[in-house]
Amino acid sequence: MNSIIFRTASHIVSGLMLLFSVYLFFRGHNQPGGGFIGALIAVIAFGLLMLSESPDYVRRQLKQTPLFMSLIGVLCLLAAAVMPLFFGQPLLTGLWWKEILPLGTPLLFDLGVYLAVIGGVLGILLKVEEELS
Amino acid sequence: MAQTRLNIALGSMVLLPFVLFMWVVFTYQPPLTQLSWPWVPSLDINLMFRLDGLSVLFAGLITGVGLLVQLYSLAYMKGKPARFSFHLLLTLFMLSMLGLVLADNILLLFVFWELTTLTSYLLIGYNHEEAKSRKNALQAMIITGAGGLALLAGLLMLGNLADSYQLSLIIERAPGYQNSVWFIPSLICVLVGAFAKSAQFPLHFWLPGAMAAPTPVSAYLHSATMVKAGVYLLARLLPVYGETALWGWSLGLAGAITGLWCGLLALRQTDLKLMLAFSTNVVLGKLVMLLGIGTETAVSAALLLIAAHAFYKAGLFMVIGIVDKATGTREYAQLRALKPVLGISFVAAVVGAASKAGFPPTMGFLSKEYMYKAGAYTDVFVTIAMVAINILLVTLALVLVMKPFLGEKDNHTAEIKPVEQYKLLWMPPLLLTCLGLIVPLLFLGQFQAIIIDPAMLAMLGNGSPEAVKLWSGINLALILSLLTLISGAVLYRFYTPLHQFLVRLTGALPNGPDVYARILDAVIKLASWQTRTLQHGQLSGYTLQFFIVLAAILVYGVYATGALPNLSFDAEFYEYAIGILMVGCAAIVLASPSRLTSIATLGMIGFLTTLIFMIYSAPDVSKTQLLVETLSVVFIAIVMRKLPLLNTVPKPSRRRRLVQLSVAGTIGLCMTLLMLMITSDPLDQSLPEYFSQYSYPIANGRNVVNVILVDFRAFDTLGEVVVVVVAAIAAISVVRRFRKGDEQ
Repeated sequence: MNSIIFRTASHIVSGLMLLFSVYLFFRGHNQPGGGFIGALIAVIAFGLLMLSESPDYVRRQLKQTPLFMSLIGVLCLLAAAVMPLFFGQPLLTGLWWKEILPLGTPLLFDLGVYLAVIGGVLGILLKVEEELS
Repeated sequence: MAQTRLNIALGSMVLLPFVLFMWVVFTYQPPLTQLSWPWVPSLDINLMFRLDGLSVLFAGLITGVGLLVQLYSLAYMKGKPARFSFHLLLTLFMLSMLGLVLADNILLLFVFWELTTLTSYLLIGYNHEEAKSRKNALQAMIITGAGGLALLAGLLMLGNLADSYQLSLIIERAPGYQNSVWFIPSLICVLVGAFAKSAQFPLHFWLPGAMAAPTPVSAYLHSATMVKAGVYLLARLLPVYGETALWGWSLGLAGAITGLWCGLLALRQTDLKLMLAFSTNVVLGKLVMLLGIGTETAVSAALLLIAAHAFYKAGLFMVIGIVDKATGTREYAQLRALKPVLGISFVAAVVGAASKAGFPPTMGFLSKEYMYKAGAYTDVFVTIAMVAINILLVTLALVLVMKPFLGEKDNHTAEIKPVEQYKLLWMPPLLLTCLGLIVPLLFLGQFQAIIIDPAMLAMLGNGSPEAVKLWSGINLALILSLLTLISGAVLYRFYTPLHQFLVRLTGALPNGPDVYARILDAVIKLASWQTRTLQHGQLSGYTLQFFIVLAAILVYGVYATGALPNLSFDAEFYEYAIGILMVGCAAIVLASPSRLTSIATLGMIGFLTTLIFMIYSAPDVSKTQLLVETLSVVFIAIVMRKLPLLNTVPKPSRRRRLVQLSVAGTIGLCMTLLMLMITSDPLDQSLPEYFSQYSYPIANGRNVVNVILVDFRAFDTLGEVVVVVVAAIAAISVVRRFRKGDEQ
């Protein structure tokens, strides 16, 4: 797209959206939000950049391929799933360390969802745009 | 370096059966040793193994003959390509076979059963560059695999009847469920599986087909082990099914027909290896017949015959392998006077053939004696069939020794290379065949104490059969034995006219491979017709098929639920407004001539749905819906730029559109009815209450939706995310494929 307004605005807006996406991801356990919703917002943010700049631009900014991201996500999921086994608990039990911050394996699990969905959906989006233009 | 590594690898392959053999010998304490490791305890599947007389007999043969076959293969396969994988496959096969005979859980047994099918497929098709080899391997796998499916069904029925998958429990509880309706069906299914594996008529033909394998494979799989798996299973289940009349009839008939018909087919062959293969069919028929009789004498005859057959048949196969190596042919018409060159092989062949013919004092003679004794107490027809089968075997044994090894050379005879300088080539067969002589002469007592008595205990429940003896005086069995030997020799005198007659006879009758090929062709034709009809490659057609199926399911769902919904409901005015807007949007989507309008309006419907979720205070769901709608509009907009304008595309035919209209209308109507029915009943509140009550105390989260996703139902999420990633990978590669197709 050639509109300079759209181009300039998209950078600001997508930046804000990415920030919002991370915010939604973190607050998800107690308030509306979570990994899946956060991931969709992030994908839309990248989609905006893709339309205003180019798919190649998004790829360069990401540094990693989307598929790699989604594989890291799946690894996070598996790690969160397997970790309780080392503490003698059944698969996928939530483990918590609340001494400093309320951290737990569900957060890692949600991070896995977040990364996997971003990688998967963004991968398709970029590919479709590249193949069709 | 590479050579050293290969040698170490091959050495370990040879060592393994030896170690296993020793393990079996030292672990086993007669009459029974049980081993168990938990595997899937919640499904009642444990790694349970059971060493009793029957399984130890098989395990000993599998590992012992396995060791000799590995040694023989070292010499036989020298210089052949992919030697290591050949030995590896043999080892894998040996392990699966060992698991099969030791397993004390029928599901475990089935897993090993299928593993033997798979590994034997790879072994039979080892010469994979020959079309015939591939075809016969596939044929063996399809037949034994189909039998395996029947067996699975039978075993599951049996397991449900006995309320346990543990073999020993099933046998123990057998009297409790023998009157059940499912008992006979399970028997039939098990029989189909066992008959397919043990190559009984009319499924006998895969075994001779499997001779496309290298000779060590035939010596191992088709003498001592794989084909005996069916016999093993029948022997194992004898205490469960043995009492039924169907058991006796079907086993007796199948065994007798297989024995007689395959004996005639064996006499018709000119290839020595094929002749041996058909005579394996004959022995399997004999074994099945003996198990069908199921008396004490018959079972001891069967056990003796299993051991005898493993010794002499594996040895004879190896001898044929040596002959093949020395002359390059297995056609007996081209083989004469091998004795001076292949002296040791000749000795092995003579001893093996003596056991095959049942010449005293071999193991084969012993088993034949007991066979006649068992037959004499049962039925005169059974005895006649047995005598006839054994006469054929005597003739075959004579053909096998006389034709290639004796006689005078003439100008048709193939050149003979002296191959007996390789020790590993002649030692295994000599040892095997001589075992058939040594065991009955020297170790008969031990054989009975270690194998026969415990096996009897396992199969028949009583452990004190009479002592097995070589000489038990002049009786009917001995007279029948003599008669058999004499008649076999007489039949051999008339071998040439008999052979010509059999060639003409079998030419006139339909044969197994042809029938099999015709059935296979029909299946392939059906499959390709179905593929052409359903997989036509048009996206709109696929979508239509999909929705037709959906409509059918929905109609059935509404029809099955029956009751008409309660149509009284109250809603606020803004809810009505949203509903009317949505219907209006849908109408615009249908009527609009521009794609862009349609897509935007479709997005609007999605956003209105979001609003409804908002009204019913489901912020997470509505957010997700909003974002998904946004993304799908982006996707469709990207794709749409490349589509031709709507008014340039020809409209589908009137009939097609009518079909589409009716399908869409049906789905809409049924969905509406179903939704009304669901909402007219009060919702079950126990789950929402549970989740909202425990979300914070247990899972440290106040957002119930998220807690369900990442904690309560995390396993579902795990699966879904993996599906998302896999779908993304697939979608990305599909888009790539299209591009390549375009370029071509």
